Amino acid sequence: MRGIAQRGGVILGVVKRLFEPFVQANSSTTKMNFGGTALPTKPGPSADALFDDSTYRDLFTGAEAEGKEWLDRYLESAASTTKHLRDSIASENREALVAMAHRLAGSSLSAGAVRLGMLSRALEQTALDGPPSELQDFGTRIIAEFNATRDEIRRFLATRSWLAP
Amino acid sequence: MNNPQLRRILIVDDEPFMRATVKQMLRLSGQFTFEEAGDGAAALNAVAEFKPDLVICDNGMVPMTGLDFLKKLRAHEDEALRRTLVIMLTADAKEETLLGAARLKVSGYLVKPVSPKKFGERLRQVFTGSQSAQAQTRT
Repeated sequence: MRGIAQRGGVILGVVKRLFEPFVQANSSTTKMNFGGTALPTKPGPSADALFDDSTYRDLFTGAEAEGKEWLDRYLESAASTTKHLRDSIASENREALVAMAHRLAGSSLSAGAVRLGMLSRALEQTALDGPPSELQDFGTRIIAEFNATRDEIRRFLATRSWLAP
Repeated sequence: MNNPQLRRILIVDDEPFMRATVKQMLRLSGQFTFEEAGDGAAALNAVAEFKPDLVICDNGMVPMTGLDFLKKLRAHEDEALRRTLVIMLTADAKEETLLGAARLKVSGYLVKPVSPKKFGERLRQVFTGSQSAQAQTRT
């Protein structure tokens, strides 16, 4: 055990030395697991948010029309990806499923659709070896989560509409 | 868009929404000229034509991943293009991907989601580092 611990320490040191100069992981959503993959963790105070508007505000305060276009584009893209994801589950195409879940996670978390992003990330981790029934369940939950997210974003945009020119 | 004084940035991502997100972060971070590519093959063509100062590249693309694109870029016949600065911007935080990116000498590795503030900071660090390296080469 001691040998393994020492070896782990050496690996940790090497990885830290290699990456500290340039890695910028979002510490609130990602932790490094030096034994394997980086796993999602609780992403801070907005973990349960259907839609966290902080990125929108950072990017588009004073540019509401562009912000609306940005969120509309997200919804359009997420709708398409969700459809492909559902098709991949139905056809049991697991590699395509991993790719779709990865895409939906990245875009959703970037848009502030936190719950949908985290659910997609969990599916991505399970897609290759999870039982079909579990993947079906993920598919159902992701569709429901997408619908709820879309409604929440539309409500948010309605509250901002008076700011647009 | 075609001001030769501005830094030239190529955005490579197969997700149009992510390219739009990066473009907006770039607009907030300074003045840049930028081009976009939706896959690795298009990115290789764009690098040759556009000659960017920096490439911001996703990894999870098909059929050519970001790392595959980067390997081809680092082996490019044009020596100047081989040295193009690259920041990976990806949802992929797996250790093997990080190691692969480090071996291919990326200048930054940002894990999505990244805040506009962190993005801008990293961009400034990369360009500041690049200027320092160029100054050292000249002296």
